[in-house]
Amino acid sequence: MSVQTILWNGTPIAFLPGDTIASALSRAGITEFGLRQTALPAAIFCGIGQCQNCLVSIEGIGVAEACLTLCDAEQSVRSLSDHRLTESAHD
Amino acid sequence: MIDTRPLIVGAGPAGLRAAITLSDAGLHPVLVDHAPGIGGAVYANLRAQPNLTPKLTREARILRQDFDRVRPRVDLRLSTAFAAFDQTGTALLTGQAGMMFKPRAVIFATGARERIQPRPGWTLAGVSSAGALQIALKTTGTLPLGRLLLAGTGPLLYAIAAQMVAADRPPVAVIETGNPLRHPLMALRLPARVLTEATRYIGQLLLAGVPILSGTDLTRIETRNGALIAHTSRQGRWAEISVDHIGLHDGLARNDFGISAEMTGQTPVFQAGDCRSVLGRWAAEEDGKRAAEQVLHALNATPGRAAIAPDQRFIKTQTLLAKLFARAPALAAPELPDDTVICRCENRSLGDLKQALQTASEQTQTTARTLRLTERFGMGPCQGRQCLDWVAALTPDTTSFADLRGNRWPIKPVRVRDILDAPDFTADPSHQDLK
Amino acid sequence: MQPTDSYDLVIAGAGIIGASVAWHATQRGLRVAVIDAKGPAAAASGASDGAVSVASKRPGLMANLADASLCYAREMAQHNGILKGIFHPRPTFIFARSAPESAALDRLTRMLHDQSLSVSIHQDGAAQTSAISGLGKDITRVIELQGEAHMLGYQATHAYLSAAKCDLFWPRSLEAYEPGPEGVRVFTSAGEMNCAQLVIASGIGTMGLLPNVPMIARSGQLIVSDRGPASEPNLPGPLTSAAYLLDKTANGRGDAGLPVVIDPLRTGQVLIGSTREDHGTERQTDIAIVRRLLHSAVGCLPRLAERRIIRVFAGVRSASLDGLPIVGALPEEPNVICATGFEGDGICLSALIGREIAAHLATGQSSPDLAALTPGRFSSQEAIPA
Repeated sequence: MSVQTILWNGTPIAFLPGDTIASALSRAGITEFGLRQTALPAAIFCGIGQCQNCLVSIEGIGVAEACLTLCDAEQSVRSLSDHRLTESAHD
Repeated sequence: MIDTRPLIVGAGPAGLRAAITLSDAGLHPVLVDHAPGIGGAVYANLRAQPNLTPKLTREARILRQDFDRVRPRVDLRLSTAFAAFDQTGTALLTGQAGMMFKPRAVIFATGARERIQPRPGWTLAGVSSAGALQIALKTTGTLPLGRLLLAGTGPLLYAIAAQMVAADRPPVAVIETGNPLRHPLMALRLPARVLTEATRYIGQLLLAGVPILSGTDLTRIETRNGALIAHTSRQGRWAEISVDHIGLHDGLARNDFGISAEMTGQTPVFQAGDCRSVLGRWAAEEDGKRAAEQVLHALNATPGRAAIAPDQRFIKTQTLLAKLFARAPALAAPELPDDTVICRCENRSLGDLKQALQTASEQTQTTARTLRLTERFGMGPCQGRQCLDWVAALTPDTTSFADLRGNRWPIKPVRVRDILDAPDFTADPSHQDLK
Repeated sequence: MQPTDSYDLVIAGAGIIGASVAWHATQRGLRVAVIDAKGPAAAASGASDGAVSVASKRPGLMANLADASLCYAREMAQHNGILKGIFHPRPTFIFARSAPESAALDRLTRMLHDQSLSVSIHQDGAAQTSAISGLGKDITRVIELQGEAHMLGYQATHAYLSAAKCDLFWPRSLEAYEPGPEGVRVFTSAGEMNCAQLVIASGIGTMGLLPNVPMIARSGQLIVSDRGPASEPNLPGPLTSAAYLLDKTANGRGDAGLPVVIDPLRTGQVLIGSTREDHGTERQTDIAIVRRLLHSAVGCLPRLAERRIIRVFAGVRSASLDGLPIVGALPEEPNVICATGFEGDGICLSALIGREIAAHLATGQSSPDLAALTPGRFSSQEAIPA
């Protein structure tokens, strides 16, 4: 069985069935998901969708909690502080 | 016809048991959860791969079997957020299976909030709630790479530590603010199944050689050479522990944010489980059944009992546990540096809060409204779930917790597109009334 | 019994109007106390979007007063003025989606020209020529105004109250008053106060106190978004439908479309508003109305569809029956001055009203500009304008 991946800011990251974006990223050693607008890091904190600290931009879904969203093969996921984000999304 | 099926928010033990009870009475409830699976935080592994640790308890297996039995009668909507409920009786669900409808009764079973005390460095990436590590372990069987540390207080900390041991990833240490092991006689008064479980956890930790540093505070976290450095203090003695991940936990609190009487209008609304009173998973299931019976009673579908108080046994257990872990108020404000972040959403510090309270006290008392509008506490996307306990603790008692909270919908942030996309079954004549 | 306090002036209401009066009065050396049932900016001032707008005012007197207040606020934001850092000049964008809306823009153009206001048209053209990119297809025309500003009500209230050397009391509500030859006895929830003059600026709280001044509570629902992605350009100023002008200027909006305002905050968040509903329930927000507002807002600015809504709330504005604020001494009671019924225009008019009431209190002379706002107009039926 080939390993399935998501694209994190363009880089392939492997995920397992049942992985959320947060669990796939943290297994890959990625704990910081960019910066929030308050300059604090975006990262997993509560793990159950309450704290809103782990928001990322997910292709086909939009801004969502990394801890609640299951991975989908070849899905592009970007940090909200990634400035390449909206240029493509809004023209 | 209008969709008026009863709504249950949250598919944890309370919500699942409520759904089972309503289904058994012949109703077709809508059960919504924003997570992709059922079970809530405590049984997040209810549908996970069978080879994952930890194994399901007997209670969890029975709950799953019962739910499987009524599953065809339950409209289960996962990856779907309960967004709002208004005084016209309209409920708004958003996400994968969003919709607008008019449930004739609502049960909130949204679980507990994990209380986490602000500490310098608690906003660093790699520092999360201990519960977040547990969810990752339960749903995927894996934990983040590197050395793990658990810190704070409360029984959940030991359960998580033991589950980490079982997954072959023991934490470097458990830093416990309280001193629960000092009162073995008090602990013996706990109900047998609680005591058995606790003894098993502690035994697992001792066998694995996980140090339990009780009476110790995690005072500060910083980064050094890519690692997290946890600074601990025990009776004035300082130490450092270098790790990669820190799970914090300072107890659980009821979670009734966003829900207020003004919002519910005429519709009967009940709370069940830890969102009503933090009594644990066994009590939550019983409470879910109780709430469902109250719904049946309110709807006259069957004679229901008007039970109100949860079983005294559960309350006694929690009171005893609270005593075992008791310690001086966790947030010793004068000891925290002023730049400690209190509000993680708006990046507001303890110094900001102190200054606001001090400026105001020169003339008159500061109001909850001022703390919200001008100081921004409770105004971020988490709606104060993380900061308001601590803001209230630091604020003169005239500012009550209830005033600080806005209690406004959406219950959690939802995308505009999702609000607009939710099909409207509040008045659509073409829609089948499913029950 | 509580000890009685004596002041030159007691102000009931710590909203933006009461706060402005307090600051202006202390500048003139008056000894002032401000009381409020809840606290500063606890009602409409705290729930407003902060638009300081002349364009949305009814042509004639209201537009002139708003413009005078805007010019004065601009002054107070200069150098080390009281509103420095709080009053922010910014452009305003008003758009049309239909013929009635376009006609409203024509009327706005005429008003700005005919009344020689300090707000001017910077650009008027098709949506594509606007400084805002990504406007919806329904928008046929956009006018960009320069000269208007943003000022959050609670920030201005706090600035006035912290700079005013006066006594503040809350929670303390005004329950009754008794004018006499020596001044006014003020009965509050926390005892009696004495003052030479009383200003009642308690918004909808005024309703029970002045039975001869007819008012209605008008609720409005507002929606607050998240901060959005860092890469998304923030709007340079509010994006307002011309239907909103029609709604506010009482010309009847007919088929012009749902009035909507998309107002950027400095945090990157946006406020989306706002309805006008004839009830005073601050707590009631409803999903169906919010959906309609959002639908309209996304039609105007499609990228809003990806924003997350973090809060919906309602504010209650006090409105007068004839749509004009109620400002001035009560008939037969020269020492009791009321300032209410602004229906959301208090943010814009607060600077001028504060200055003029303070001048009136200190000198006994009242500004002829405010004569039409006198509460006395409701005493005789024929004085009510159609």
